[in-house]
Amino acid sequence: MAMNNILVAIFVVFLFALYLSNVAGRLDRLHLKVENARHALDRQLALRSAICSDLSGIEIFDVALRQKLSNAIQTSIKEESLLIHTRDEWAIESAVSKVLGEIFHESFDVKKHQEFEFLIKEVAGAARRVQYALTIFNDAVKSVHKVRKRWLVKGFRLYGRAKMPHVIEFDTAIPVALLHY
Amino acid sequence: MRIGIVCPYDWSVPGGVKQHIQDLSESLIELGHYVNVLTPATDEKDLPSYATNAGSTIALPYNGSIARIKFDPAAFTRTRQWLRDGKFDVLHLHEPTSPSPSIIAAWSARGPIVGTYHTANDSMYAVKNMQFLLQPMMEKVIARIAVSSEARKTMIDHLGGDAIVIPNGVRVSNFVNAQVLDGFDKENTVVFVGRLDEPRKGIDVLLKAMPEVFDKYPKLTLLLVGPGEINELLSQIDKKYHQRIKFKGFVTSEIKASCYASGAVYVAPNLGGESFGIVLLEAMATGTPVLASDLPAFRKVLDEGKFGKLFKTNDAKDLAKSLIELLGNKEEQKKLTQAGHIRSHQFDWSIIVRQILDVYEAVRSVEGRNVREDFRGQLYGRLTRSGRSDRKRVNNSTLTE
Repeated sequence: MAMNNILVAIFVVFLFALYLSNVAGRLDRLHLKVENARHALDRQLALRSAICSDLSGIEIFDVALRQKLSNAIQTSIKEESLLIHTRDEWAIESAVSKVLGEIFHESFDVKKHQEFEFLIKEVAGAARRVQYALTIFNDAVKSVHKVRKRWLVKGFRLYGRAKMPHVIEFDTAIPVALLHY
Repeated sequence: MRIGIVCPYDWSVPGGVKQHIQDLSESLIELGHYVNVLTPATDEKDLPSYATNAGSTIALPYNGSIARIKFDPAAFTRTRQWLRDGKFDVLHLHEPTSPSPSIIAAWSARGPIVGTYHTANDSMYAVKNMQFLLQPMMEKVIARIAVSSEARKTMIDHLGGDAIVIPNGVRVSNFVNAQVLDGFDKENTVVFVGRLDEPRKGIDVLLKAMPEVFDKYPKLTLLLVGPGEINELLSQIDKKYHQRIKFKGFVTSEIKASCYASGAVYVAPNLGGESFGIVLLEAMATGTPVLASDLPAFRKVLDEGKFGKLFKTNDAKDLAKSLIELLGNKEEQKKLTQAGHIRSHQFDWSIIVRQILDVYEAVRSVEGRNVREDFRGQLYGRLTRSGRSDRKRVNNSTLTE
């Protein structure tokens, strides 16, 4: 009898350990997803800066706005190349979004600028991909938070040495005139 | 790009999700992408060349209507076979939490996976209770798309996280040249399109409002289009009006377009459960002015009344008043026709598909590899070399530096 009880106990402990290892593995994959999503966000931001710098060379826009855009991009490119993956200066990226919003304001008619349609479409796509990449990143962060909140995960420190990721917020609004391009 | 799409519902039965997938696939193919859709189908003959049959379906009540879905052991083998054959760059699941090939694909695959949530409904109890089972699978979905902010809210309430909002599209070219049906006077017809046997489509409200409108406009006819039993409905309205209600049951999409075009006004009296007003955009694409209930989803499509008229949801009096006004005002009809053309073009699939491709692009830059079978949790995966190598931790940062 006693033997049987010990066997059952061992089996239960084994199952529990298996479960814990499963949760730890899942959490590890989630952290990896967050990391990858963060790299993807950085890449999309760099792409947007590159496309916008093409835009600042076009003469159809107001000179002051073009200057503002190229300033905003220059700051962001500096950040992007220097401090990839560690920076927290999200205001810089917000600034780029805001200038884009000013350029492609409500009364800007894309149809009047046929010759630059291709570039404008590229800008719209780049702006969208930044927004999507940020949503994907925050989605991943939130799912990590959800799992790490569980007492079992906290108690057994199933997250190991992985740092707690944080939600990133900055202005990713798509310029009004580009909403349907 | 090679894109695999999974449709959760039966292809042989018309419905919003199926239409969405069909339009999306055709738009992607037009742009030169390779698309294959895995879908259940009762009749193999209904399947287009870009679809693969996942087997027949069973009917289950889901989200206030009958969903014909699929969930059996053979489906697992088929789904894995499809994944192996397809060699997809992106896997796009629709309604990934419904018991269907979508969830099986979420279970069997890993890599760049996108999920689209169509439902805006607060009573998805099944999903909430099954969460602990679903969660690990749903974590494999890298980008989640909701078709409206209501659908996004529902998804976040039930599953947490965040989602990208990309609206439904309409294939404007399929509607713009629709002809008025024979025997109908466009100036004196009001059209309703939708399931007649589904209370949430609001047909009861419309029938309550019609006597007043009929009395005001003696030449007016009401055209009801959609599957359902007409006799039961007619008993709700005075016998003297029966002559003036025309009925068309289930119609093909070409005839449906003509039905929209045959009306002076299209009425959408829906009571709720709509996550997006695709019917409104279809009607607008044919050039018919829209009068719709002020559900959040409809208000957004009509931009608070800029592109079509709104009335108070479930208020027959307000419906009658607005309908009488609109029928009597030719100027406003003309204005709404023009506004409708502009609006429907903004939601044309040629534009929406670009947004979806941007999501694919974003997902591919998160997951550097192709879609592949997921061997984790399978004996094969734990024992064989190919399964083990797939479990190695791959970090994308090498790509950036």
